[in-house]
Amino acid sequence: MDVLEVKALGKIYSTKGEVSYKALDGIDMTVQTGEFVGVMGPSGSGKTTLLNLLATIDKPTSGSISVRGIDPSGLSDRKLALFRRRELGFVFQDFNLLDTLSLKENIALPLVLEGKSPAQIERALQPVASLLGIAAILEKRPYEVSGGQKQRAAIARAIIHEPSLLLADELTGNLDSKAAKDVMESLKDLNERLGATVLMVTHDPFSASYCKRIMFIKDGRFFSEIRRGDNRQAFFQQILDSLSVLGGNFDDVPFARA
Amino acid sequence: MTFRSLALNNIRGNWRSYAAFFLSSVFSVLIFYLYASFVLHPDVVNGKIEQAQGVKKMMEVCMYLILIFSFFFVLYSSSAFVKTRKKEFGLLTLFGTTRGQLRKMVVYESLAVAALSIAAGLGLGILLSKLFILTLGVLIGTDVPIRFLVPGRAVLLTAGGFLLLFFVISLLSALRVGRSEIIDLLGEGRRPKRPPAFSPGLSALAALSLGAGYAMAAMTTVQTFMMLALPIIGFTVLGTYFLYTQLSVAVIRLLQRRKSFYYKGTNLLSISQLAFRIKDNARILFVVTVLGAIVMSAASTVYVFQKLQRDQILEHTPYTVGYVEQGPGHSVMDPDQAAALLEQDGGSVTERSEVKGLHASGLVGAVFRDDRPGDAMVVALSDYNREAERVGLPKRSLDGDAGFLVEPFRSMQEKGKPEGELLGRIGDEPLRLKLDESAYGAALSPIAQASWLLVVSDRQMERWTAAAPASAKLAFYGFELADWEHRLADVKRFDEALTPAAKEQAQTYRVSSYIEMRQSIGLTVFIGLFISVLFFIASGSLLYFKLFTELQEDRSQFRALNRIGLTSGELRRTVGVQVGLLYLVPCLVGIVHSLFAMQALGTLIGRPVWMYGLVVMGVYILMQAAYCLISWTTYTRSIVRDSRV
Repeated sequence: MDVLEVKALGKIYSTKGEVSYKALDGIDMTVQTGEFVGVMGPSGSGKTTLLNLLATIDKPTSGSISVRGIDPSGLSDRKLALFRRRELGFVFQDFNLLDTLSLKENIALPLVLEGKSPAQIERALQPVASLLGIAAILEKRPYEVSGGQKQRAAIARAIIHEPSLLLADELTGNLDSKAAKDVMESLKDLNERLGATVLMVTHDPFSASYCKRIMFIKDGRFFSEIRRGDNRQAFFQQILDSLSVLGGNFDDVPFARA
Repeated sequence: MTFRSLALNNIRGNWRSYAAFFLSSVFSVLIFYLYASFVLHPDVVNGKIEQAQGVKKMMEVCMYLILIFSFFFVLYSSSAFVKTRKKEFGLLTLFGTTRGQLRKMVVYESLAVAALSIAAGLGLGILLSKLFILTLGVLIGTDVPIRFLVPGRAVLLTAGGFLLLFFVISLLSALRVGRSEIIDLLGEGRRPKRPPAFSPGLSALAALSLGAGYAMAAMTTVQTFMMLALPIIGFTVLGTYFLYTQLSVAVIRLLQRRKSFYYKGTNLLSISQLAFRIKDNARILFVVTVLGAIVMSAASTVYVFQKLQRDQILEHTPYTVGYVEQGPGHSVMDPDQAAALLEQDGGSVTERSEVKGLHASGLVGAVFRDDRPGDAMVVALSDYNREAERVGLPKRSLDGDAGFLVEPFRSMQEKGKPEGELLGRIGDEPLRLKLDESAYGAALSPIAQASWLLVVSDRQMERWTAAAPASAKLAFYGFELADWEHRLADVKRFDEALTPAAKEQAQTYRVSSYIEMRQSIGLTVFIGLFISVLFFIASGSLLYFKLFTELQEDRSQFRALNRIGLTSGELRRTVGVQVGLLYLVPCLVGIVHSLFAMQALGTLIGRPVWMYGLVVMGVYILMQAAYCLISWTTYTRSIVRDSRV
């Protein structure tokens, strides 16, 4: 079943002057239930624009998006927020956990906002936390734990309400390689064991090698697509090859962090 | 681009973040000018406003107090402002701006803002001073408000004082900027916050000392007040401090433990952040509460005294004008003529009373000692009851031939018993009467023979009147004027038409003493109100600034929450709960404090006064709620606007 269906998606940014900039141009894609899709591309290729459009925090100028048959572009601001809350899960590069809450409270937040009872929340929380290996640190606060643990808590928050689609934005960008590996393993587990549908934007070939399918975009257009076989190592090599064909600059990201 | 133009461009480009700092500076200048223009007004200095003479020194002292207060106020807003810009300073330092240059830039900027705000504040002040003087006239109750003019000294003092003040402040903040490390400047606000902690002991102490303070205030008596006053204040202040730093956190922790409440929609967000907010703002909240309590207690006390004095004047003067005549004819004035005189200039007499009586003299017994026999006006019980009811005194009954005395002052009241026997005479006839318990409070204007009343049964009165000579007969005439507070001229006209001897027989001072009282208290009320409003606005602004120093942090937080699906309605509610509590908790605590203060005051003056305080407190709550609403809307608007991705 299709979770996400994107048709001829386009986004043009225009400034007050005559200058307009085509960030996305005629992107088509479908994601099916249980898929683990990566989107890669050099900087300026439109990855982030695509993710923002899928996240419904930006509106396309042409084309359409449908998540489980719902087209979010027709929704009011309030409905849109509720749509994000129920249908989508987000994981960010910089975690975006609230310092004022413990990890447990951070994870429970989407359910609390939905008005679930404390007992229901507790029931939903335990399996996710133990699957992600953070059951022991639930009472701690975000600044007391490592980056990898924070990101795993953020993933828990993103899937606790069982969204149709989990969107991840450079989720290993702030982590060292060991933590990145842990986080990607966790995400893979979620995908395989719970059947969560994941769409991840990244520039990091290592993280991307956990995906089952990778879509490359360049200058706002679809460029190519590769699928993973059984071997992750081989897939990693395949990604590197594709990137060299794709060209462009991939090393700018670390400076994006202040 | 010169360095100076960099500083000026900073202001132009960054106008929004300067706005709060600028506005608070303008506000301080405005307030100071308004006040100075009154204190240094030639009419006040040269003594045209009489009642200002007595408090002139006090008013000047207050002027300097306001200046000192402004200093701290502006200092605080400037440091809050500099804090929000730390990152900018960090970047500039990173690009190689030296500390000296950075300091120079801050001084330039502050002086530019200072010049602008002094100009704007003075301009606004001159515009508003007309309104200010009019308001003042109404409050003090003078008919001729002082002239509108711009006292040169006030302008100079304001401009000079604030220029100096801003200069010192800019130097202080420049020093502060120069001292920090780049990494601290850049990383400002990124450091994780520790969750607020509390000590159970200190929380208990907070509850205990508040309880002790309140209990003592409630139980104090006139005798123990002097001894208890300091402990009451001490315990309450101590309790308030720990209430915010400790008890508040304890209460929030308790709430967080109640999962059914805590895990309910936006409660999770607002309650958890509230713990941080209250702890971070504990000192400000404490100061705001104590200031609020002082302001409210002081304002209520002044208000109470004004009300009490009005009541007291009314107690002594049941009629706007009243007089007593003895013997045949009209020795003072024909009542019709008196009414005509009073109504001559558009006034209207709403009540007119005439009471016939007899002059009893040489009275001995009860309060009249043998060596100083007294006089009284004998009136019939039915007449007395009618007049007593009119001024709110209890009605009386009499059995048989007894009578009772009416003393002119309510405050003389003591639990009385039958007073024994009264001896005296009416005309030449001897008088002997058994006395019941006395009544207290003037029912007729207590003047001349009518100062004391002797009330007897209607039957007795008839008998005595028949027996008494015409020369012993008395007649009391009372006139009540509509809108009497403003009919001084009418009363004066009546008074001037009397002969000196007749003046002794008439009570006409109600209006003039009321106006005198209004004027002398009015100025005190005015200065009190002025300073209250100042404190009030200052405390609101402190909270407002404190709120906005956290804007950046909140914005990024809410941007993230928006992505995971927090609706803007929920955002408003979350912020609303926090801002609302931040503003209203000190207000409510302050009100409770001052209610207990009112309770103690009521004990001291022997009658309950808390209802007078309620008026002042209501006004305070309304103002604070308005402030809260403004902060809430502007704050959510700036969060929502900037967290749109």
